[in-house]
Amino acid sequence: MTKSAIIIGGGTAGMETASRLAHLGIEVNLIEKQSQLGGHLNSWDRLFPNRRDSKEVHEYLEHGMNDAIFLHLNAEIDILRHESERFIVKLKDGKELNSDALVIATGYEVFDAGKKEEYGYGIYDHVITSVEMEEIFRKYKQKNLFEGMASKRVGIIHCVGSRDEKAGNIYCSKLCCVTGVKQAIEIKELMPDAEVFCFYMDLRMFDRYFEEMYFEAQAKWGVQFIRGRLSEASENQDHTLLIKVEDTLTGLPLKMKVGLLILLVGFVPNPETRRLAAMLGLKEGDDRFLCPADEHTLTNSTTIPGVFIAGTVKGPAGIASTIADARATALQVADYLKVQK
Amino acid sequence: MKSFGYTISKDRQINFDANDFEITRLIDAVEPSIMLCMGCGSCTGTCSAGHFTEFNIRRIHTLIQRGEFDHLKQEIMKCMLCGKCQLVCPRGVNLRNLILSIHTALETFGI
Amino acid sequence: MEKGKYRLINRNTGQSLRVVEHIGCHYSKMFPSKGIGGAEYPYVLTGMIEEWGGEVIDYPERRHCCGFGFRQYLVQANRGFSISCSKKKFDSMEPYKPDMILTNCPGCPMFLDRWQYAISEMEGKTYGENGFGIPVLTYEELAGLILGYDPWDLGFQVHQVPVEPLLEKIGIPYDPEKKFKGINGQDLGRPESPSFLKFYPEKA
Repeated sequence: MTKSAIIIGGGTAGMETASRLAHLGIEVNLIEKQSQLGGHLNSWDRLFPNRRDSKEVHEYLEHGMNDAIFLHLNAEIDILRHESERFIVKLKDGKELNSDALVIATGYEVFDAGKKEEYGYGIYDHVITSVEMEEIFRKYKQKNLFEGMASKRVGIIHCVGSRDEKAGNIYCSKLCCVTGVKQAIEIKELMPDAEVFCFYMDLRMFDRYFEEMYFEAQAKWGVQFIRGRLSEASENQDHTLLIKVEDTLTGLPLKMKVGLLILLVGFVPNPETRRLAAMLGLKEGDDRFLCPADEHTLTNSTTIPGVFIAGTVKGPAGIASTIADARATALQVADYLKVQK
Repeated sequence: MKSFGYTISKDRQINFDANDFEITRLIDAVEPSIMLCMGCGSCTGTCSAGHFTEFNIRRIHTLIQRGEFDHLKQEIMKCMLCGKCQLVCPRGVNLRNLILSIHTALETFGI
Repeated sequence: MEKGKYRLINRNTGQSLRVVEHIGCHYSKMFPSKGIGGAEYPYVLTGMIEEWGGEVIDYPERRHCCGFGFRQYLVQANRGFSISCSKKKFDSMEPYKPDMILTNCPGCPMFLDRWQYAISEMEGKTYGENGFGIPVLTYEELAGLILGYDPWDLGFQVHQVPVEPLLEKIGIPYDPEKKFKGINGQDLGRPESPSFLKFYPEKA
């Protein structure tokens, strides 16, 4: 009898796990709550470190999906059950699916910047998130970004919702720093006479070519980096934003006005993941992301046999490592299914 | 004007929008490698002058980028141009030339 | 609002009065979970102002401390720091042309009122229109005015920044002759005129 797997979540991880499993001859049901696949990959215009179009990655992932995958779009899950080595998934539209293995790839959400009241998101006009900035890049490639703004200065704020006890997330979201540097360069490319300032606590340029991006931002584009976390943002009469930071490298408080304030929002666990995890009895870490069976050696399985995880349900991760992780999950699922009767 | 026995304190907050950057622009033009600085402090850690005076080259040039030039003239005189800072800079900033360009800028603007 | 006799509207222009609200640090900075509306945009004074027809001004130094504290102000050597905090607020709110400041702390209004006088003596600078300064009221005083109590019964004669321009804008009647008369009509004398901050009545 053909072995089967149900994958919950049709983002980067879900799509790659699905195509690898289908390739291995396993029957796959892929459940996605939105009307299209891709998840957060669809939010980004160009990806670091080489600033290539995210659509190319989306095409690659779509390309791997074949007819052996049963796709359920606009599908939300009502109940999940685990009954003697079978998994039963009941969708809200009444459909019931069952399989021998389950993969949770429900991804993440971005931090709601409105929770940081002192930054003015949702209160003042020219405060946006990094996700909204990507939308702007995608839609307005030739447009004058600063039309109607009283200042051609952009402030990029690192660590919004991450490394912040008041926001409830003390972990680092890892990828926001490089996103900030990438967006700084992209703004300078679009508007060379804009002044761009990045306000950071630490610059986490941990992966290949990230440090080189930081170097390029300074050497080639004149982006200025001020080490100091944003304390508060207020609005001037001309709708520019007045921001206050400590310039820690000189030890003095500093205020400046910017025309546009971009908040680099971090990763938070998807509430849907937590709901499904509770139904199955999966363990969460203190940071509310899911725990794998072993931190080093079994990062794609969980403590429940037959339940596997892929992608950002485990914590912040980039596109490249999510794709690699999804392939590893597919292999773990296949190995598990081989020994099942 | 009356005095009540106390004075209004000087605001030490850097008001970026109120500062005049013409000195900064001249220095940046003469020594553009200064834009590579990442604030690591290797230069200041090894600086000969820094042991016995308050001379802090990292802080000084960061303040220049913020448009703050208080005490710049007397501070920059403390540098002996030994070149130890330049030897250790991980980003390749030409620090000796930077110090000389600061002297030039101060002279150009009659400070 | 049913009992209120007056509204925070400038009867000459028909526009809402522009009000700066100042929340005491002890209210929502020290006890953020107890502040109505949260710590960053407490609603307690905003609610009153909007209910009474006024317009609330948001300006960059809105959350800055007025500088009262205890150790700062009570020791003369530290007073310079205190007055500088209030001055920072005044300089920031000035371009927004507020008609008045509303506070909910006992120390802040005393400060914001008195320091306008002290700053005018030390530096010759006044805020507000025509050198009259920006009147500072506590919410109790404003509630009293709205309910129709006589300004001199509420104690406005001890304010250093004259409230008469504000009373005229709202349309609250007052008797200038009664300003410096105590209970039983006895004359209380006149305070010395400040050098720069204008005073009502302009003639003694």
